Amino acid sequence: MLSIKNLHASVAGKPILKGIDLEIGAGEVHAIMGPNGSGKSTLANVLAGRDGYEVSDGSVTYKGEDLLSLEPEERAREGVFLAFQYPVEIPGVSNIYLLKAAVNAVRAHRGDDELDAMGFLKLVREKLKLVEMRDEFLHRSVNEGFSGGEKKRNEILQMAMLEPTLSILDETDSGLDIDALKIVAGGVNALRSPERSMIVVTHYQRLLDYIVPDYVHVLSGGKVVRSGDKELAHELEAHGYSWIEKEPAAAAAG
Amino acid sequence: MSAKLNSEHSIETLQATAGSLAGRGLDWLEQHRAKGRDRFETIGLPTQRHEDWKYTDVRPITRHEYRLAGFDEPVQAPNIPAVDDLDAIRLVVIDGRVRTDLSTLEALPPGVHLRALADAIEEAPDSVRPWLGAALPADSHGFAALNDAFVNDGACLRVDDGVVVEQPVEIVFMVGAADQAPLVQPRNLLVVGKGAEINIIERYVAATDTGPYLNNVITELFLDERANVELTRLQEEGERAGHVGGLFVRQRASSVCRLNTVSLDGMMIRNDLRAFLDEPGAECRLRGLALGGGRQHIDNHTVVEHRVERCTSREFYKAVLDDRARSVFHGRIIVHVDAQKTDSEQQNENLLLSRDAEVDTKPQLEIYADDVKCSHGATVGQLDEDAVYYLRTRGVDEASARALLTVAFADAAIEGVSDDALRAHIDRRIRQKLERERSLVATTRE
Repeated sequence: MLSIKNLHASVAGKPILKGIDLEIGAGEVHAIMGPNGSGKSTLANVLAGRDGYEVSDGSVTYKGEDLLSLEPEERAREGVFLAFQYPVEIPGVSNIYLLKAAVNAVRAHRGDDELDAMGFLKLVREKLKLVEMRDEFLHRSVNEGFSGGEKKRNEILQMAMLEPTLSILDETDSGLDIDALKIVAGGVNALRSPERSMIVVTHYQRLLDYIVPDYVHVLSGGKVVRSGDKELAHELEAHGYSWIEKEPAAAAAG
Repeated sequence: MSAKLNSEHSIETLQATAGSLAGRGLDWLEQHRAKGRDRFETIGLPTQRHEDWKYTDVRPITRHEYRLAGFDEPVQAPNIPAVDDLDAIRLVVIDGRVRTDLSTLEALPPGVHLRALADAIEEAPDSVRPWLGAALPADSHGFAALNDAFVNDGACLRVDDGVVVEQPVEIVFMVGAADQAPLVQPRNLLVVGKGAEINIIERYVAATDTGPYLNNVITELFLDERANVELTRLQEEGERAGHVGGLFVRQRASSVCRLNTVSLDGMMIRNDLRAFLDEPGAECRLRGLALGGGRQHIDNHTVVEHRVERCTSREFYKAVLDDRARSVFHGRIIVHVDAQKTDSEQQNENLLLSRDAEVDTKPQLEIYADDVKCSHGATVGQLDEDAVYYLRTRGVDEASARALLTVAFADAAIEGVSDDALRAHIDRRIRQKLERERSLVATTRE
């Protein structure tokens, strides 16, 4: 599904990613953990195609294609979805308008017809239930005046509508109370399937109690310093990131 | 005979192009016109040396050889572009003259009196006299004086006390094609009685293929106690047109006035809007949108005067500028010494889509009372790149994302337009214009 090799990237001339290697197979959920400033969000944005992120070395191959040569919208249409850490407020553009534009852009790319109004409404109502949102959310401006939890649920709603093959969740747990966290995790879990892969970026182990990963990678200083299964997350929780930062070599060897 | 407006003898020369004006022999009216003439001859047209005209050079619209329009044989029924689905009482004004033959005045609701000002002057001068000029400030500029000098025709509306008018009143101002630059000077008197409610639409449109012309408009609007009025001024003038639009409003106790000014087309537009909150509890809400492209120049000059206590004003103006367009916003709020408990907010937001576009924004608060709540703010910026990126990550291509955000920005300024059909019309025109601008800009860059 996704193959990242020796990825180096910098922002405003400052190197952030210093050689990332990751292999993500179809249907797998990979958690990426790490202290602040380790490059987690940079990795998420490089994969989504944000301007200003300079890739100086390495490659990213997605479904056999060079992902980095695609525009952000092309990546989205090919099935890459980024759930933002800080979803953007867009006054004057209603949620339903954005959902319709997004779904139809993806459908057109696949060669499918646009959904008619009835078909679209049926689909969106079904997905709203998944994230426990009311109909009225559809008619509010995108994220404007939403609480932290509402914004994150809105991200999962968009993800559910677009049915991506690769989802990148960037600190989706930040700013969520436990109830909202459960709803978001429930939405994500409902989308797990053998053909859908996910990258879950998080600072804390807590989210991983609800979205149980197949693999856990720890990022530090722009590199993957340790990989393991979900137990690694618990070890991190017990020892803190300093455990890895102090002994990166030993940790990597382990 | 024709005259450049900035020449010494322009009044005399224009006079010669005028036919017979309504109400000859009415002393008070002759005096009103004479005062306008004198004032024009004394102060002339504004120049950039005047603080209120610092950013607007009117020479592009005053250099033409003008003749006063509306005194020739009336043009045949022109094709008047309609607002789809708008269900309104319609008054048509062509070249400054009311055309009852093109209007729908036969089925006016009871208590609504809508007629030509020229007819009102001839048939019931005493219904005009108390109002004409009563909303104009003493310091009005040369264009207003010029309008005064030739006061003749326009819309004359009176709504009786307590009458709630369900249908909007649409006044369409159109300038026909002409060989020689017409100077068109409608004068509108709108008088709304106690507790009456009405929605008024002023729509300025041009016939196709018009050359340069100047629409020098004055509307005076009076709200009696508890009256509730919405007035939307929509400017879709000709490509080479100038429009100087005065809108002067006087509000009595607890009246509510919503004024929407939407400037879309016209080479140079200057709007002077002045609201006098004369009695306690009056409330006015101003919204404006200037959508400029090409080399358009749109200047919104507003003054809200809180003259007494407990009045409210809200002002929200936006500009979207592409190419080499320029916009000016000058928002003055005057809170007089007795105007305690004034509640006033002003916001001006500008979106620049091109490097060559320019905006000058000048909020100006003059507060002489001490117990007031006043705020103002102005922003000038480009599209939010985070929002563009966000939309792109949802599969929306970049050009569409930018168009979507631009329309969303502009649409917020027309939320005050309550008639669905009119708002939809404006929204459509915004989209068309942005589409046109973008393709023009794209072509010139290739």
